[in-house]
Amino acid sequence: MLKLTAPKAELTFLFNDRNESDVVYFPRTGSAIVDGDLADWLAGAKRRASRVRVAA
Amino acid sequence: MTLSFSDREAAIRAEVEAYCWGHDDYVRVVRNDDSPTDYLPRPGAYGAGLIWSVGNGYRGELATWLYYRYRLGLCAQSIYREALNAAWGHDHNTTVCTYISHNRWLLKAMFRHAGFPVPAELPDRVDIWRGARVRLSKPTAHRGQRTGMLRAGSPVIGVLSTNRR
Repeated sequence: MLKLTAPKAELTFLFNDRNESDVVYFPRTGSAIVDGDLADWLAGAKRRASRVRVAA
Repeated sequence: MTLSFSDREAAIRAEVEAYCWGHDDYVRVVRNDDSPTDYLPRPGAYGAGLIWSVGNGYRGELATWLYYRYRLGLCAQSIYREALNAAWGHDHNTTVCTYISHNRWLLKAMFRHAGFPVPAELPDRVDIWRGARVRLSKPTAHRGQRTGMLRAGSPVIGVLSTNRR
């Protein structure tokens, strides 16, 4: 996953009708970083899945 | 030769009339009627209705046509905004790739002028994530190169969150 931090004032579009939190942003420079790796994101997904099971 | 907004609007209108002529939403949009409707209780609803009334392949063209009409003062911003919202929300791949991908500056202008509201409760700086479509080495990805989406002026279409973990 690539991550960048953007000023709120520069966001041009937010679409959350399906709770997907889509955003469109036109960056001035390529300032994204790689955020974590596959293992990191899989661990986060497992934590989320376990919370959903507990809630259910 | 640089075409004016008026020239561009007229050129697209000739196409639009061929597949929208007589449609109720089209008539209301041309009349600049920004009333809400039962199916979308917001100003500009007929802009969304017009988008929904045509196939995916026409939606980018319609949104662009309404952008030029808005810039010419022929269309309320709410109508144009709801049209772009409907086109993008349904299938941004169609909106971008079929019609506007050749001109990312046009796409940027279209979003900027649509005036989509940004929630006041968001912090001043927000994090955006998106997946990379190609396998990148970390140094390459860190430079933001060859991803096709991180060049200055290109849109980043991602997921907004203030707390991913």
